[in-house]
Amino acid sequence: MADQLLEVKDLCVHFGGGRTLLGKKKVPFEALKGIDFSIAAGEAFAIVGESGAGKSTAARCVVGLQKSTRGEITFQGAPLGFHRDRDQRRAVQMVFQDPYSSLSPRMTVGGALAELLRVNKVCGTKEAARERAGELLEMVGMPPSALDQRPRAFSGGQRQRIGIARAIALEPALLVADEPVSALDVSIQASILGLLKRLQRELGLTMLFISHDLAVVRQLCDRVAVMCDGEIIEMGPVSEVLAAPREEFTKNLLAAATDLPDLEMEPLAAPPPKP
Amino acid sequence: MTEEMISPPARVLDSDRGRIGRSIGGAVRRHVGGNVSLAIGIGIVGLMVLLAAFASVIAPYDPLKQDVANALLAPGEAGHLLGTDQLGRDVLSRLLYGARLDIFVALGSVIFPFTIGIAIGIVAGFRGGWVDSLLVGVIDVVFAFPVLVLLIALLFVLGPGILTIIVAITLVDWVAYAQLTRTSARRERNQEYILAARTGGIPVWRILLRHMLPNIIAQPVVLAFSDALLIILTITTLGFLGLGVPPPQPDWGTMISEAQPYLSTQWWLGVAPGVAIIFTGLGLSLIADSLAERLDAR
Repeated sequence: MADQLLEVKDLCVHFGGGRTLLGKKKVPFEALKGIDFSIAAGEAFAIVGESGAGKSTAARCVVGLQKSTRGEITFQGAPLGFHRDRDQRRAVQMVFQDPYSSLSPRMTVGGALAELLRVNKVCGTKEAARERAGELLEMVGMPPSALDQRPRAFSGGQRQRIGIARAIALEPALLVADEPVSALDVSIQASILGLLKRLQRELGLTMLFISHDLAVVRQLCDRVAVMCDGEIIEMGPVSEVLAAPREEFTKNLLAAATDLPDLEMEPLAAPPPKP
Repeated sequence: MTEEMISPPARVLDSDRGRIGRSIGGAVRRHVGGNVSLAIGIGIVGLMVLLAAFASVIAPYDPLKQDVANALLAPGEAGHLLGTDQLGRDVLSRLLYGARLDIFVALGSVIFPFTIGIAIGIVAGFRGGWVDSLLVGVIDVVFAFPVLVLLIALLFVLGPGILTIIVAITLVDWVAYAQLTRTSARRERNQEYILAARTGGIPVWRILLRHMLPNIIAQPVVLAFSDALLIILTITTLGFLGLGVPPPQPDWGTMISEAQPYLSTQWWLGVAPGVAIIFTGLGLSLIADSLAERLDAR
């Protein structure tokens, strides 16, 4: 298929292999046992599964934070390895899981964004970088005043917006989102998912979305792969997989999904009079 | 009076913070609060540094000038505020010049291990793999040596002198900073803000300096201040053993060592440098402790 943006073939990751000092073979833990999937340009693809299923490991291989043991990743027709050039690195960016640890506590929001823009030569001067950082914040619904503040000034949801601003700063083609809302309150989750959906449409992003929650996937994604113990056990369009799951495992996962609150709300009743 | 001393102040309980709570600085901080004790500490250390820096202006006499006719004068006699030693040298002047020397050596003996240890520790902790294993091995070997014995051996090999003391202490002391920094770096390297910086293509040296270092520097800084105190004690110990600064240069340890035969008759000869050491130590301890408290809360 020529229009595939990302193709993953037989991706394997083993942890803790090799030999001990005495030459005894250590038994590796197989986090990924050879998975295949591909994502078309503009598509939102989800990988779901329990924690420990290997979803995050797969995401980290794609982003270039994890060396694979075997297998290959092809991106825009070229091999995408652990070591990659600046353009490839820029083209695949990530939204991290925990907004409380994904922002450096000692850097201002503007400082961190500007550094990213300048190091990657998106902006040449300090002023241009700062201006662009302000625009990025605006795109994710944060006020420009956030530029001079440190992450501790913000709530989890706001921090995740900043994290999203950082991920789109380098104008990636593929955005990998590793459980972007699982650390947030349910009431905040919907707004962050809405933001991701909107950005995907406006920027023409392709998304790889990692989640353990099928309800979240249903709102956001086109196709889904279900992972269990390092293998993909079921894959297809979201509507089909969720409506008629073939595997018992998927059924159980579906039963465990949270119910996100309905977004259509009745107008608030008048507050009760104060005593 | 006794009852008052036995019953602990109520605030001791809510600020029980392990090791820190048991130091001198911690005891003072509990009574006057973090900011005040930090200010006092900076005041004391600042005063000592000023006295040391302007020793040549303040000191009333030449610290090396001998006057055997006026040896062992009591404090206040014949214009010698703290008296004279066995060779008739002015004790106050020697104390001030001694401060200059000891503080200079302490500064050198903190800055070099601090910088070298942090640089090695952060790279090893971030890189992991064989670099890290090698560092851990080296740290264990250096730690396993009795420090003072190692220092004395190094001093014999390199010959006595100020530079030798700094080099010898650096060779031994960097491992403390390296170990502390390595542990923090290993913890931080898997934090998502570091992963995010890597994903963003930010060069490794920049990640280490701008992203990781500011988040792990607090502990080494605190260690540096308590270390400075230990180093001053080590220098004075070396001086006392006759391995420190070669005479006739005055330093506090040598002064105490030389005052030994006169302790029962001219006690101030030993007490004056002793008080200076305690005073400086108190200042450093106060700074270390207040900084630990303050930097802890980010």
